[in-house]
Amino acid sequence: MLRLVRGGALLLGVGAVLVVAAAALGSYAIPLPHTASILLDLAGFGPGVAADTERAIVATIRLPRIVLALLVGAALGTAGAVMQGLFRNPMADPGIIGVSTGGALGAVIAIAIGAQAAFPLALPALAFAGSAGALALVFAVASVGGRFSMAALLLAGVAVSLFLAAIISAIVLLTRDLGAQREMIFWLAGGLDASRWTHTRLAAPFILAGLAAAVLLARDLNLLTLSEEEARALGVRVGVTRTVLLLAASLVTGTAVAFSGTIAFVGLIVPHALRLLSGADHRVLVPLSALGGALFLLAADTLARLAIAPAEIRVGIITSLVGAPFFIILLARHKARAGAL
Amino acid sequence: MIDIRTSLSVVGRSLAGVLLAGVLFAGAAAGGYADAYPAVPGIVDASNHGWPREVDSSEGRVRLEEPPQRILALSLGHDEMLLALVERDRLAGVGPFAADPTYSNVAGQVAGLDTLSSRDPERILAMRPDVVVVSRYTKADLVELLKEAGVPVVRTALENSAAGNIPNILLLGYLLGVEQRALELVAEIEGRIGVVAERVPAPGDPSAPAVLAIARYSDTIYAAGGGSTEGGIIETAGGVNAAARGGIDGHQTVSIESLAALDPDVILITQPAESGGTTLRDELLTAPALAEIPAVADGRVVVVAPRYYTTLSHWNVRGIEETARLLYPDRFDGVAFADFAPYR
Repeated sequence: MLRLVRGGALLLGVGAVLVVAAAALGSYAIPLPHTASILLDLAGFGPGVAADTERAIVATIRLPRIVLALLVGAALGTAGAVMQGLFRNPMADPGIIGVSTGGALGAVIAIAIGAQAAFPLALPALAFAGSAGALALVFAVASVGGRFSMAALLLAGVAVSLFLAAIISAIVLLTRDLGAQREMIFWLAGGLDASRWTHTRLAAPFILAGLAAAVLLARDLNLLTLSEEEARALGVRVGVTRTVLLLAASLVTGTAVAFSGTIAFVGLIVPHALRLLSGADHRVLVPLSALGGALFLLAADTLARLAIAPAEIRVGIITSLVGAPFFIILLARHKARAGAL
Repeated sequence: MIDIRTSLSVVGRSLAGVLLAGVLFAGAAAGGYADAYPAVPGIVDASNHGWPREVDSSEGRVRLEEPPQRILALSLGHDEMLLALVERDRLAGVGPFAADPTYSNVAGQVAGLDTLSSRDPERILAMRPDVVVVSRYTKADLVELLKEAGVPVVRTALENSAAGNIPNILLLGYLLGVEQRALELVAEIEGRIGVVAERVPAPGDPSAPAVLAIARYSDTIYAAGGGSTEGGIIETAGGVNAAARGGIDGHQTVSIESLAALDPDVILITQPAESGGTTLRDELLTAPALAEIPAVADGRVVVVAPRYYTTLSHWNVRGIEETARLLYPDRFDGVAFADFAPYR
């Protein structure tokens, strides 16, 4: 638990600095004292000195994007830690059982039928429904008499993902409307550039509920990673626990995909890197992955906003470009340390 | 009221900087184009106006024994040029987007023509084209397949400006044996650009308004920066491309905050009104973060016809005309702009 306290305190400290930096920096130049004044004003500490445009940019553009980046990053980091634990596979990522692909299919359908133009939240709603539908399909395929093995679930997830990906490709290719086709391609690339407070308000309850479930079941997840028999012998209701953890990971992943598209790498790399630093105890790893994922995605998104300002880079490019070398360095250090012992 | 199309031959020839077509057109009127046709890249022998004739492109040399009667282009920009150069009966078909009225300027002219739904080589061969015109965006594998099947293929680099496509039009005119018509079309293009140039400030004029062209796809806003079709249209129409001024090249993602940083006087939304253009305009006009930028404060956020701004053909001239009128309405009082006419 000391590791959790130390790691948590460190990440929270870094996070506070990062949030202020992300609020202060952007293509529209806002002096730091003005940003501080706006943040204090929003926190209820009196009227600020910033201009209306500066206040509007911080309050309605940067802050909702920061909050959504934190939520999505926490969701992906947590889901990655849970999936890697459940499947006992360090290559497992949040989308391993088809949830991300299902969400993508829902979004592509929303664009193809023009639903997102009629109702602004139709796209995240259908993306979320797509994630839920994919999850249900995977469970239906993998289950025999209401029970399922993790191996069957993994194979079903891979098969359903490929099947849904084929449908997505068919829809994109067969769409005659060039504009809709472009929309699909851009959505599939993922991003946080359209974040609004509405999105954060809708995403937060689902993601926080999923995170809470994952943290509460972290001890049981530790036992499941040993073996199902040992977990059962130590009082874990294996079937229920596994199902709840899968649903929690899928819930947060589906919600993240619905509001940000598919952002690769975060769910794979963050838990893996933190496992190297803090060990494999999920009571530490799951909350730290939530924090680490949140900060990693916020840092990546801030860099995506600033690197070629006033234009932006897709955040997925940054997560991969920054995350992969970072991960390789961690892996090399870990190997060197192991070799020295 | 001035009718632009009917006055162009005179205006076009009077303009410095656009003398090429004027001279050619005058030469053609005086004694035919045979001695005046320009040796644009790709024409092997510009003095040969008989058959057979040859053109070069990155796909090698193509020799045509007689004027092709079943012409097929795979890109929208080429379809638009072809329909201005030849009778539509000479087209074996049109490409996938020619019939889409949102992005095509010839959608009304292609009814009844065979339309490719994809760039499937079997489908293309079934159209029995005499020659296929492709752009730099056409996949090399497809081109190789067509060439192996014995179909002459000419690749031309579709440029992202009307003036930049003049060599393409002249090359196509030569290839298809319609040199006279190609010269007329070039004269019309240069004349129409000249009409605008006479009325708007010269490039670099500090009084020129900053114009930003954007479109939104799936909640992501794209700005047209330096080197883009929209940017070229803005500058030719007497504006300053705000995105290029801000350091953006090509089409790049921007946020609402970036729109405030770019501080445009006018915003053009090059997205169909019914497919999010109007919604985007309304959102920009009510965004608190943009309230103080001139374009929003003055209500100069305009949804324009995307087909004039996104195509790669002489139809970009219509974008120039519409933008110039939008920026300088007083200077175009009584001037009527018309669409390019199909070949007659």
